[in-house]
Amino acid sequence: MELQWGLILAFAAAAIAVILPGMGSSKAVGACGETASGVSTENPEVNSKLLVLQLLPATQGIYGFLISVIIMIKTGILSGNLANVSLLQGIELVIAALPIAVVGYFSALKQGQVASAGMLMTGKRPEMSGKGITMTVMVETYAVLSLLVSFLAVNAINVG
Amino acid sequence: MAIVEMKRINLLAMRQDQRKLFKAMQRMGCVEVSPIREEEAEAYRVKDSGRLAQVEDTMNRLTWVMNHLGRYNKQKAPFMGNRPDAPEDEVAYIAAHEDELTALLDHADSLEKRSGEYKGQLARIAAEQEQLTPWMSLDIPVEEIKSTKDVFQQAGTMNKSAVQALQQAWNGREVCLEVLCEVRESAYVWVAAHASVKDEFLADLKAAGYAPQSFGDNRGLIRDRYEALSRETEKVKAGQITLEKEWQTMAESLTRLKIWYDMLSVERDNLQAAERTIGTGMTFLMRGWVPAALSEKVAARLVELSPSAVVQVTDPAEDDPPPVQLHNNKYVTPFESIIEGFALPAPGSIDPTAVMAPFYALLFGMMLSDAGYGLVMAIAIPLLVKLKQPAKSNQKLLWVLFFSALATVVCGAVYNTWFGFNLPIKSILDPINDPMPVMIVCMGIGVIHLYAGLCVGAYANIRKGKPLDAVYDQLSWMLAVSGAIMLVLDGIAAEIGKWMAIAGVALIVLFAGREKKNPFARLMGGLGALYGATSWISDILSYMRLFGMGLATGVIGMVINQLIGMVFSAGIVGKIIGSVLFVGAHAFNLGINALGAYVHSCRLQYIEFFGKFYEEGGVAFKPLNYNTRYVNFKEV
Repeated sequence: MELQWGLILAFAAAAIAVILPGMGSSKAVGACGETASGVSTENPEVNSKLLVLQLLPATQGIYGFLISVIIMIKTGILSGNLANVSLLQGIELVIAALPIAVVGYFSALKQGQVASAGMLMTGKRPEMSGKGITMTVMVETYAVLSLLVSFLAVNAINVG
Repeated sequence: MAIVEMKRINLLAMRQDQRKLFKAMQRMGCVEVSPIREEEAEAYRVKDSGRLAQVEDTMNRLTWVMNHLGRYNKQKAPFMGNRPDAPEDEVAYIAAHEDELTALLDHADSLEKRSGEYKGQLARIAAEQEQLTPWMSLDIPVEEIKSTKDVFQQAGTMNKSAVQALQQAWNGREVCLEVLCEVRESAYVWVAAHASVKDEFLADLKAAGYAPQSFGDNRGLIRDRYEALSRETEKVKAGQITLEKEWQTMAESLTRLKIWYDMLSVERDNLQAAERTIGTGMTFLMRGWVPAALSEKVAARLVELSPSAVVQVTDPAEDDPPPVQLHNNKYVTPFESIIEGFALPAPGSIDPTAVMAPFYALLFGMMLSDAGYGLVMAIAIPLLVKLKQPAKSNQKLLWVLFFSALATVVCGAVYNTWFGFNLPIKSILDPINDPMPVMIVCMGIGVIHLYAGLCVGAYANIRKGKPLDAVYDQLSWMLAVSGAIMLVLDGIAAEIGKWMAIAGVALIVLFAGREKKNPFARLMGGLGALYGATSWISDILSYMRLFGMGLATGVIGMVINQLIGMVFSAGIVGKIIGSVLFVGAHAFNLGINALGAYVHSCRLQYIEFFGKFYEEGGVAFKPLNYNTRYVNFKEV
């Protein structure tokens, strides 16, 4: 069987869409978890507020997963009936996956830092947790925007 | 929809009635006692009798004891901060038996002291036993290891590596060297030598790293001493078990201690408030805040309790900003918690809760956007509140989620998404196959939301008696933005839009800098304000997250169903596993997306909506009341 470059690129697109944001999110959520444990020992009463903050940088990983699955549905990877993906379409899929892959990775890391700082603030002044959450969500805006662009781009590619 | 109007209240009364009056105010729970800061008041500052310090000290000790007892208590923590009512007979009992409870705290202290002693003893025994272990095989009573006239005898340690050489060197001569045991690099040895060779032998031993061992006050066989220590350990451990049982017995009164703690905290609040008054030996003066609507009732009640008291209720002075309390009808009240999560509005500004509430629910609904999830929440939350009765503050949040869940059902129906499935009817909006209309709807809702913010700002300006400001600051932007949007359309609408935009921009450029006297500076100020148009673009685009978050829920739900569909097709076992997975996976999707919808709705309110009008800076109204941690009181 000859090499189907288009299909290989489709696999690559699905892979980077889930790998990079997943790496970013797991790193950020992990770092936040460490901060949360530290703050909890000082002030156990704010624990539930810390969990909300810890979960915030997790969304990038989910966005990446989402784009990855859409690519897999589109190219028939999920159902097992592999579609006929041309080389050009394969390249298009990789490019379409890039926004969420790259922005997802970096915004997850930054969001994790803001969330960690918010946790320290919440530990000292629990009534400020709302502001900490707001500041953290500011970063997520760019992940949401890149998710949209990736989604619209993937959606526009007609495979088959 | 309002910030509660506050009045200043001054109370001048006899000292002997103070306790009674303060208790009454605490029961009414609507008077905030403020400190009297004037310099001339300094001389009349009230000194507490020492009861406050005593109460605080007892509370600190109680906190420690309750923390410690928590370990022995098998009771489950109350659900979401639910607080039971304190039984009245228990409260009466505690009030009458404070000495007994203080004795309990003393007992806890003595238990802790004993526990420390036991730990110290165990450590000391363990250390001694470790020292003795190498000498276990020494079968000479230690007091007999001493030199006689003819024989030198000693026990000690030396380098393990040198033992063999030494033994060979002295083989056959009048010495004896016996290795008892070896630990790491050292050998524990017993040595004996005839007096004639003692010095020579000792010199050789020293060269081999020998050091004599002293057994201190020990008598008899080392292994006997070791066993005696072991018996002592047993005794200490038995003591620890008894101690543990005593803690357990004490843990039975944990509930009582909690009620006591809350009673003390109520008393502490009362005493702290009393410290803020000033007075002489016979009278005292209190200054505070009271909601205007309740002021007459409070005044009447205070005079009724203390007929000689003088109560004065006045409007606050210009430079005396009152504390802020929000008041709304029962449907909107839960949403106050969203405002409180940001910052309270400045006194005299506007409470936006009522305007914000429907938008909050709508934005949340569009982001969660699965009618099935909405139904689950809308059914589960009232049940939860009914059955488990969580604490008031948590109930507020739950009701916010309930109203948001209702909006979610509507939005989910519009998107035609039910637990990730689409019903076989045509969807009104289909974000996956036809995203453009959804994006337009999202930004349209954003524009409406922002205009609502401008309207609140305009209302505030009109209320302040500056209707022209409403035209310059709010109407101008509405005209400019609406006009710019209409430019996209065709025909007559675009023509109207053009003129609207021009009118709006002209208003902004001419009047935004109206505070400056210099006409040139004024124009520059106006042009600067026009730069705010960029923030309008980013604000409106920000509402694209409604689409993004909605998409995330929908697509993840769909993927879950597809994957579980594969499991489901694998016979009866697959059906069972698939059903469990279906519930679990959708619960996860609901949880993570509800959290996302919650925080992103907050953000859209705080940044985009509030950015258009909100004046923050209010200080929360903190009346003297029953602020408890574990139980609710009817009376103290």
